[in-house]
Order: sequence, then C-alpha cells, then structure tokens
Amino acid sequence: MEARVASKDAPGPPSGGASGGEPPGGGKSGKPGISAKALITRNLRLAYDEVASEPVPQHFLDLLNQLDENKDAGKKEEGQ
Amino acid sequence: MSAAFKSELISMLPSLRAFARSLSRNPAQADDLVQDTLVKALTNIERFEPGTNLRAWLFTILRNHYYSHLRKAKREVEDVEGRMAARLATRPAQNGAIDLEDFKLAFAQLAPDHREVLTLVGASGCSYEEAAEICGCAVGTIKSRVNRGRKKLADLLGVDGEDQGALSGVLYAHDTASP
Repeated sequence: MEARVASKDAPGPPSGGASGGEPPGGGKSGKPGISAKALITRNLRLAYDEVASEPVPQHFLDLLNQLDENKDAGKKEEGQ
Repeated sequence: MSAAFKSELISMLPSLRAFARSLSRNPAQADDLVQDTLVKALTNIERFEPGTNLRAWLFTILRNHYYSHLRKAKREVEDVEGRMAARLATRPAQNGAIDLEDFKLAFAQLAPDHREVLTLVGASGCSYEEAAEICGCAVGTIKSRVNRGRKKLADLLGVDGEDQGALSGVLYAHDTASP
C-alpha cells in the first residue's frame, strides 16, 4: 500500500512560483513512513503554488499603472 | 513610484494572491483583497522603507485588511465553514492518500490564525521571524500556532498528527505489525 499524495493536476508552468517547491507527487511519495507533518507541508505548498503559478490577471497590472498615474490625485479605485 | 519598485511589486503579486487565497477562501474575494492591498500600499508608499522586506510589508497590509473585513463578513464565513464541513465529512481519507481538494476543504475549516501561519511558514517560505512580524506577535506564538494548526489539520484529515506517525490509521493502526 502506498502512501501517496494525490495532486490532481499539478500546477504546470514553473513561472513565478513562490517557494522553491519540490516536484509534486514525486518519488518520495511512495515512502511508507512519511509523517503527517511532511504530508501537510507538501499539500500546503501544492495549494499555495497552484495559485501562485497562475498568470497574474491583467486587471492587477492595469490597477498598478493607474495608481501610479493617479498617485497625487489620491486613491481612485476602491476594490469593493 | 520608480520602475524598479513597480516591477518588484509586480513580482510579489503571485504570492500575494496565494496568501490572500489561503485567508479568504472565495477566489474573487481573495483577489479583491489583493487589489485593496495594492491600493493601500501605494497610498502609504512613503511608509515603506526601501531596502526592507517588501513582501512582509505587503503581507501585513493584506492580513490587516482581511481581518478588518472579516469582522463584517463573519456570518457568511461561518456559513461557508458549515457547508465545507458537511462536504468533507462525506469524503474521509482513504488508504492514507489525500486528495489536494480534500486537503483544501480541511484547511478551509481551520481558524484564520492557523491558516495564516501555516501558509506563511509552511508554504510561502517565510521564516518564523517574518511570520511574527507579519502577524504582529511573538515568534513563540507563531511556533505554537503552527503546531496547533498542523495538529488540527491532521485531525481533520484523519492522519496521525504525531511526528513519526504514518498516514492515517490505515497504515499503522495496529501497533506496527511491521510491513
């Protein structure tokens, strides 16, 4: 019986990933003695990297540009 | 804002989004949180000392904003937690394997102070000291929150929270009748 961590679709492109994560679902996962701590850490990273590896939505960049331009005029866009 | 600062800010967006997502479990709300963080950061840009830890500064803003918003949205959050608990209860860990989606559901049930430290220390690569700075508390507090958060998560997932414990009772339930 294998102690494995199922990682659905692992976040693909190694673009702007945050933490230097190990490859998901890698070789270590077959090790029977993997601790709950290691398991949790791995999944924490997977969940985090999944978001961090998404391309940054354009509206953030637009917002930054806009804020930059309007800096002196005070804040213009409130997010909600 | 200098071009260098701007590009540094842009390089922080992926981790800001990931941190926000671990706090606010709704992706749209999480992105709103990041957006508000950018606005606040740039409005208070003169308070940032160049050369210091930009990520910690941004994470702090995001976190504080989340908590002030959380108070308003408390009821909604509790409702989400209830539904997630119900869903998770129907999908117990099997054979020690943990599906990432199940993990996320379990994680979402943790208290925010556990979610934040686990994300900061466990996933984003923050040191305990950085996490303490971001959360405005002592390093010892961060450490004990990490431990308690991990323990809670292990309980929710049905895996053994003890250090040497294997994945769930399935593997090692019977006093190591070795493999």
